[in-house]
Amino acid sequence: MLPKYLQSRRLDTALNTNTTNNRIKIFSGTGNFALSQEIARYMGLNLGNIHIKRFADGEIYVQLQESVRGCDVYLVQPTCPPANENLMELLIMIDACRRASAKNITAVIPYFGYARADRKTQGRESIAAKLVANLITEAGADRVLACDIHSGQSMGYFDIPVDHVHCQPVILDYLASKKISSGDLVVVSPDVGGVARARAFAKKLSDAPLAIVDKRRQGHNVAEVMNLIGDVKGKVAVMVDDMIDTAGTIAKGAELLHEIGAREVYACSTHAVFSPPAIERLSSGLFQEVIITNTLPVSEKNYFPQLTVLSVANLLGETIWRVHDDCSVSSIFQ
Amino acid sequence: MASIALCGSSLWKSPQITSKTFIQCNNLSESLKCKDNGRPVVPGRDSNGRQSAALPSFLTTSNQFVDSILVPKGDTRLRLFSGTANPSLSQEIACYMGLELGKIKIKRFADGEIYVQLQESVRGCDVYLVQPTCPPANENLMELLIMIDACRRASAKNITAVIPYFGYARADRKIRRGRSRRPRFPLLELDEPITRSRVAAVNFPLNKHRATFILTSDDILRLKSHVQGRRPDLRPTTFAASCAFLWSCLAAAEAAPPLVDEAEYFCFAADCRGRLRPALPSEYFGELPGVREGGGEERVSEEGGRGGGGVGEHSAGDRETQGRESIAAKLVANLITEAGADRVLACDLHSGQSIGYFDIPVDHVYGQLHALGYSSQCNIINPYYLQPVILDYLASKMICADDLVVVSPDVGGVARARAFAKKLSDAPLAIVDKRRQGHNVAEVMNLIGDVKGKVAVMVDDMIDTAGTIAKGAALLHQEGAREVYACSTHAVFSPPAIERLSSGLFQEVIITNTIPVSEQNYFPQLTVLSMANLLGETIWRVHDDCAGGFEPYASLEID
Repeated sequence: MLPKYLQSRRLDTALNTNTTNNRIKIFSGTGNFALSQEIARYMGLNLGNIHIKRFADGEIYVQLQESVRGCDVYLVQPTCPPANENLMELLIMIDACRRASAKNITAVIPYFGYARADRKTQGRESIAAKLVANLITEAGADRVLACDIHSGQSMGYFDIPVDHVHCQPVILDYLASKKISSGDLVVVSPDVGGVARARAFAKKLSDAPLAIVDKRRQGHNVAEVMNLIGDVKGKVAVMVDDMIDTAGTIAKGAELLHEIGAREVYACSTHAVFSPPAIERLSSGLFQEVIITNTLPVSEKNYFPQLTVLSVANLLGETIWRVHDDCSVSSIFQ
Repeated sequence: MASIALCGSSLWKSPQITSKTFIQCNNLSESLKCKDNGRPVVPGRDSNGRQSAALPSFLTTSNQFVDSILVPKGDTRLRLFSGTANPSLSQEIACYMGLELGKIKIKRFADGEIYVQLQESVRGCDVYLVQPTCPPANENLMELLIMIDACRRASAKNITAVIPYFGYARADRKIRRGRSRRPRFPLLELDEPITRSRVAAVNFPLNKHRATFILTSDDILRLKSHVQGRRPDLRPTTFAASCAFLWSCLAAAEAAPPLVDEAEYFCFAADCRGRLRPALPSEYFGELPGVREGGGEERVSEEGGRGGGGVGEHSAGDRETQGRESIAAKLVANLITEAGADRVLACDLHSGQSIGYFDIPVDHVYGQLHALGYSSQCNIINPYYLQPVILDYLASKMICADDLVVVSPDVGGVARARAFAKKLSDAPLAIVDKRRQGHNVAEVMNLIGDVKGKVAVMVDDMIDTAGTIAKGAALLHQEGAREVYACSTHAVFSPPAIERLSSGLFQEVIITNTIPVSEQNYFPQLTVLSMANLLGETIWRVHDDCAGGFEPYASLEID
């Protein structure tokens, strides 16, 4: 109870405006509208009105339908396929916000396209991940919030702060709810590059043992399995990767696991890019269950019986609140 | 001599003539080019055609090491790469320049991401990347950006993005909220009202032409006495009095609620070309970025310098904002700069403002107009004497000069059409005054000027859905034009452009190949001209300049 001299209507309204937080606005691109809506719902906000259209010649036009002057603006737009369209849309959205005098612009990028082009494997290649980071910075973003970027180094490509959201807790929670006996469990990394990720995952999963599929890749999008390091015989194998694109790597790995005598194979991944023929490969019966999250929208026709889609909306919503309130983000993941 | 080379600007009409025709043209132009400008095609000569014979004898040994030092690297250091947007244009440019296109691997992953690898070394080279950002605009833009990035990481010395068609150029400003209501002009309340215009037609209607007032000396005297009746301390000049009268009429016509804090400007287009020191040629019609320094006893307003041709901006009204829109043209310019381009070469940008969006040098190539260079001391950005591709073609059609009238399909394009008309034996001008309600939707209102019984040539910088130009053509036919031609540099051709253009409204539709025209989009009236020679020549000049040997542009004059 406030002292009498402090009880004034003006102060009340001032306090109320503080609590309703009308200085935070969240807008969605066309990349993953459902996820944006879920995030807004978790945060108790409405999505901002935004007018995005494409001209007959494919160019994009963006207009914000409400004022963002002095606001903290969050733009939710994964740069998922069609990657270039969605990226351009994000850039133009950022530009529109900047020109509308937004105070802070945070690009919430649940899936960061071009993240795999993060180094030169041969001469005279481009490093598209760095390029995209530069483009986002140049367009005028003040901060980036990204989920499970392919390699942690990519964060260093940005000259603006990057908040990295780990989506593993969502998948871990789900796996834990399946009550698989911890003695039966083995976490498998589908390639050598993902060992660190799988190891962190195994650690959280009651310190399960680790196995690695050692594969030599001949070219882009073509996977070749060599052999398995570790023991999976009679066990439940959980394959962990950050993204499933054509599913070549993970499907060949699963075949190998079955060959060697794994009882069941689960596939877990944050990003489901699902370029053809991923659906055929994943639904062919190799996997007991394919667990993904909704960082990318999964179209209706791509559903198959083994597919489980988890939502990262709460995680992202919570992260956005914490970023906005200047609280610790990393404590979510402990 | 080289003008012959460029006159051979290759053209093909519909698919029946094969590409062989213009390969011959290219060969012709190539040989002429070498003779005239002495530009090396054979490695081993420098850019002035000097040979190592002039060297002291001890240096003329056939020592490979010495040769490798002395042979100027000029041309071996120029690399031309093509994106996937318009490979045939790139191939033509390479043909004209006597070069091979560089090997480049561009592929798209299953998820639509783009991968670029240069298949040959570009270390220390001047790299030219030819890629219009035509539809699909975003794909092509990303491809260009990634190509630039790949070149930069491969240690190219200079990267020039050659962008024959610059997508998003139309999103070059925030758009004014439609105030389409045509203002009425109530007249100032004098004791005896001044009569409104007795003459309807003006020589060239201005951009924002609304009404014409003719003030006789009697009227002006009355105006002056009216002012002095209220403010005896003022002695207005004729100019001030007539301006004040127009201003008050305009203010009354707009009938806007008075805005206290908002500055408004009353701008004039003044022809000050002759008053500069040294004077600009009277036919100069182009951009003069800023007032030239030095020697100016007379202060010249910026408006006068810029709107030299008489088509000036009425006021800042054009720049009113709709708010919270993106200015995508600026964004794209920033992206190209950020990706690492050192220089941009663009054709017929939608508006001159777009050049200013780049922080890097932009070479602007005109497909339609003579970009009139003045002299190398002048601060004009684009002092190239370039051959106008479309004008050449039109001239070759031998249309009687009296029959010709150049039509601008909208008021925004008047300046372009006027310059075009001037070059076309000073043809008269007509303007379709249209009010546009939204993007991609055109609405024709009325025609300013006379086209009856004449051959109307409609000029625009691009044809997208062709709504504007088709409605304009229908109006022209209605007004009694004998034939209607459509000319445009960029053929975006979004549906339903083809149906509209091939419906018989046009005698001929003349475009250039800055954007590839797919086979199924050909129709009998379509004529596609090639920009390759023009672009190739520009690349040579840009390169020669970069390569060090300073050569005033004037000496490269082609005509």
